[in-house]
Amino acid sequence: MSTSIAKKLLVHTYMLLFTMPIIGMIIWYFLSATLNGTTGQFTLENFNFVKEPIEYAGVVLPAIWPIVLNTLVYSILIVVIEVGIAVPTAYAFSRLDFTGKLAAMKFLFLMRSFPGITLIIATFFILVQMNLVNTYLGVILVAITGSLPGRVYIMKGFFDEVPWDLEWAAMVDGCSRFRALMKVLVPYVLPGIGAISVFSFLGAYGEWFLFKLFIFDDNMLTLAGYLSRLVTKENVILNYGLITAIGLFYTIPLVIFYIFTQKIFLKINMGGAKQV
Amino acid sequence: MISLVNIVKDYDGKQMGSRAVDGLNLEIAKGEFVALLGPSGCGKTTTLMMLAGLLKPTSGEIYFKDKLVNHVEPKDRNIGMVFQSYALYPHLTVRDNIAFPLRERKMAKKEAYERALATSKILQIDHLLDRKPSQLSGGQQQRVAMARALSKDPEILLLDEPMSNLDSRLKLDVRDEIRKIQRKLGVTTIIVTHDQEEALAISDRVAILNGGKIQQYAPPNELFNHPANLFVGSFLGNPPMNLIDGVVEKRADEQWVKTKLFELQIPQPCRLEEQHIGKAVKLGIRPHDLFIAEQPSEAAIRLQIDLIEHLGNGQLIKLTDRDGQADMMIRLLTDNEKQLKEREMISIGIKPNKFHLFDMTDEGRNLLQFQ
Repeated sequence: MSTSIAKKLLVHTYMLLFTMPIIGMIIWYFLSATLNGTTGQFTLENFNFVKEPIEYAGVVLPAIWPIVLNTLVYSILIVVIEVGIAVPTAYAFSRLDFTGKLAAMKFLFLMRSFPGITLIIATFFILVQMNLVNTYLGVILVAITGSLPGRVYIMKGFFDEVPWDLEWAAMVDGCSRFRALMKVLVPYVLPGIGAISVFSFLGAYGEWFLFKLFIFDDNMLTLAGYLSRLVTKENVILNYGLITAIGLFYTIPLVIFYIFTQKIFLKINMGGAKQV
Repeated sequence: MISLVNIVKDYDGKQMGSRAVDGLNLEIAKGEFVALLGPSGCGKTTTLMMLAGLLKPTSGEIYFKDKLVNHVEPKDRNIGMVFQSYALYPHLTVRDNIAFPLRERKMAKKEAYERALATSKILQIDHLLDRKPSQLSGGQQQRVAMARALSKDPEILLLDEPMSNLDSRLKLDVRDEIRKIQRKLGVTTIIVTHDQEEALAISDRVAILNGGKIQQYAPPNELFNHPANLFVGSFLGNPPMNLIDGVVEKRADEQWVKTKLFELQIPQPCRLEEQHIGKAVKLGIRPHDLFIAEQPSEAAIRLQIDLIEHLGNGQLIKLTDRDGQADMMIRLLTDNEKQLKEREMISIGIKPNKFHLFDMTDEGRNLLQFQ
């Protein structure tokens, strides 16, 4: 009995030691957002940005709520487009035989292995030519080009797991191929669709690089882009309190979202991406 | 009702030897229960898939009631199918599973549920209607799969190894039940199986397939007593038929088969044609058509017991000739009454007219026709 207590003590001490720095960081984050930097007193003045446009480093920043709306619209749009394309594409790769399937699969891997940043000058050039700079369409096109191959690959793993018998049974029971997909296969791979939706949403929510590159209108920013603009303006951070407050504002929905969706993440290891 | 005419199915056109079904002809009458039986890779499942419309034949024609259905989609063929894995829809309850084919026909929900209930009562699963497939045992899942296949009142019921995932005791019950339901509903049924006992027990006629071809298509009794060729003879029956090399000889007016150990007269009514005289043949005798002779007589064959296996309802005895010169191993099935010892010498005899002669061609045609 005493050994088990000692064991527990050891484990807990170990865990405490390693989680302390992380917990410390989070606490510091909260404190610097809610304390006045000079007087050290509790204040919510850093959160004034939720009420009105604020001035930062001599620039008046746009109000936060339109930015939040932008973020939601952009993220949901990305989720809808990516899921809408990835699911049928993955089904085709998993279930259909067509000319050029192997070549397309190889291309998928190639796309995945390219670091997007190496293509950025070419991408910018193309967007300028297409007159898509400073538009959401341009950002969305570039964003889904980078992320779709990965989503398709994960989804294909899920479709590979669906027994053929199930699809055949649906077809014998009166479904066309497409209806069998909608009525039987999609419910079967729902965890996978959930997983790629979460990935897409998180990816879109955290996207700042493309906004920094292609969007010049501050009113069109999303939260991540907004935050990045604060941090890097003039290369000096002037107001820690404000940045941490906005950072907190940005992070908390994500944490809540994560708490509710972490089960879906675990499914990735169970169902997805097992077979090539 | 169903006719398959010269069906050929190649899996990959580019390669040779990828022919799964090779010139298959089959006629199935309305209300008949037919089994497709054969070793794995014989093309039986491929044939079933073509009947379902899930595969398209490379050439040949499939007719349902004189109507060519080669290009009819599975959903328009009015078939019910039970898969080996049962393929129940995991996200639907048992009720919705059974009603699924009806709902796909745009039947009103209420009516579909009533039909599902009625079908589930036939299969005695009406108490499980609100469960999900994952909450059912294997036997229950099998019943649900049957109910789903039958709920739409199909013209043809296709069963793809429906019992291979059940334990042997349950298999017997399910087998009887499938047979009973099939009789009751009178639905034309085709079952694919590799289990010969199942095929023989359940069906009106059995088609034995090998290498993508039908070897014999006949009622179970006839298959067993009059195998058309060497494959059918050796494939059917457990323990398998004894096959002994022999030569046909003519003595005066009599025909004899001579083997290394014994000679056997071919009875007058089924005399062979002259061309077979002097030719090598395979003599086939089923283990239960051999008996142990009490009195050593002239006709008896003296052999040594090599091994005795107790099968529960009988003993399987493996016999060899003592000096091993004939290199012969014969299996004999006898009852439990006989007290036998290994290494003992015994005399055995062959029950009258209970043997088969197969010629030595690739086909191995059966030369005898006992009435």
